[in-house]
Amino acid sequence: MGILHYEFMQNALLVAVLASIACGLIGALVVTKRITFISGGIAHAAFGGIGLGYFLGINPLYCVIPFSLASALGIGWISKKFKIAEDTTIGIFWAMGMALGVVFIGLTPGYAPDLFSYLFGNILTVPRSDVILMLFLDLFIVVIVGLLYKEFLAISFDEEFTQVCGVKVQAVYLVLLCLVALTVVLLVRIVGIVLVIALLTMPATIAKMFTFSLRKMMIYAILVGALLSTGGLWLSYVLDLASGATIILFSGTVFMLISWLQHVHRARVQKTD
Amino acid sequence: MKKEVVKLTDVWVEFNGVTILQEQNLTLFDNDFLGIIGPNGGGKTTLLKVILGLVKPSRGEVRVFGQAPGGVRRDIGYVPQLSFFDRDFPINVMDVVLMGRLSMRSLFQPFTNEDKNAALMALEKVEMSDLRHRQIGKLSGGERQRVFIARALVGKPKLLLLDEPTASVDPKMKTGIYDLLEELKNNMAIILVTHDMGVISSHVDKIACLNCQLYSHDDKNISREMLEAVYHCPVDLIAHGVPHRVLDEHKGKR
Repeated sequence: MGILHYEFMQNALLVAVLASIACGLIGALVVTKRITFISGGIAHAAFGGIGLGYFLGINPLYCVIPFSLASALGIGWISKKFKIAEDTTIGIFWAMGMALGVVFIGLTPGYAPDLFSYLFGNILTVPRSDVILMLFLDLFIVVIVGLLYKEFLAISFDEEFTQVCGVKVQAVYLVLLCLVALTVVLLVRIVGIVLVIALLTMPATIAKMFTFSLRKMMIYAILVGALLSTGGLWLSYVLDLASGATIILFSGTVFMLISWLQHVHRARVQKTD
Repeated sequence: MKKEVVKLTDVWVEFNGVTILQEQNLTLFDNDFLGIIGPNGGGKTTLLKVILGLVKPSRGEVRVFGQAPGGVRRDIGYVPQLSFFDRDFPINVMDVVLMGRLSMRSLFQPFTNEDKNAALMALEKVEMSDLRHRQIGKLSGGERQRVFIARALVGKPKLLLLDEPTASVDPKMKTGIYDLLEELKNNMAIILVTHDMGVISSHVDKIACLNCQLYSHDDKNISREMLEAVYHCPVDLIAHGVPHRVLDEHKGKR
């Protein structure tokens, strides 16, 4: 366990745990409300924010926050307002956000350092300032999910009935999309915008196999996420591979293994019935 | 004088230029039990949604308890049409019923013990309290319908709207649901949308047929003329499983 003595490794572990908290809470909602595609759209549109950060010469993460919030609200609002199918709006924002990023980076003189780490993540190089930002984002996400838990559960299960009860369904949905956007910001440093969607959905989907309570699903997803990201991080160190991609590949492998085991288990239960 | 619960005056609903509801006039009083029948696509669900305030009419006036719909949601219980849903959805029976208390709690406010007791009582009323910890997807169609009725009742509504509550429910469970409605109508006004033409006549006080236009009768006999106007073709009804004849004898030679 010598690797734990390195400060960058302790930092990386802390970051992995922080990311797992947001991932577990929001991932559980993304999976139950089935908004994986919109989350992917928000994540990719965030590339525009990264480009803008390079262009303005400031920490790209600070630009990603308003950018991904705006695309979350934009997707939710435009598809409602102009009665465009939501998946169409998502596709448009997805492509436009990335295109904007490319244009901004093209306009920035010189070479764009670390660009690759924003696309595919690098958990080992997260600076302290970003760790503190992640801590605040986590805190914010935990508080909002705690306050709006019953509304989030209700709109995921039966939006129309929730509306009949007088809940501002559209506003609650937009708040949820904003939390997805903030989670994307949190995850960008670790797995990058291209891989965010995997880390958002896999722990929650694994958790869903073991419980039918949303609350427990959130807790399990946090634990699973922490195990998968630290496990992947350790593997990337041992095998000397890119950390973000290794975390995703490791999570995906575990995910498929558990799905298969569950399938086998179900088949056996059915047989004995 | 009886209190007016729902009043529709010349209500029209159009979607993209297609008329869904035409010239709806309807008055429902306290403790009325109205059954609405009609063909698929006849606008039955839309009519309920107009009363709920989910669909804005393009013309006419809607009054629920004397107010615009939407302002009185707390007093309305709604049992939506059974539609497709995720059978793996992580929610149990108790939490589904608790949703019915959303109108009584503001944003950020968690459900209280009072809410939980009310939910338990509603579940006892529909005889589902034993299954309160079960995942909703693991219930049969009839059991699920009962849970949704409990969810509508938990807010102690004065008006109950049910959209095809007996669809995909086995006959025994169906009788149970009708018996329950029979008991509930002493405390609230009920509008029931259904396909079950034979059975409703023995339970409801008034029947209306809806196919874009509403043909209502103030008694509960479905007349042949009424049905033919609604379905645009001669209709024969065979009433089975009912203790009395629903239709008048056919007049004239066949």
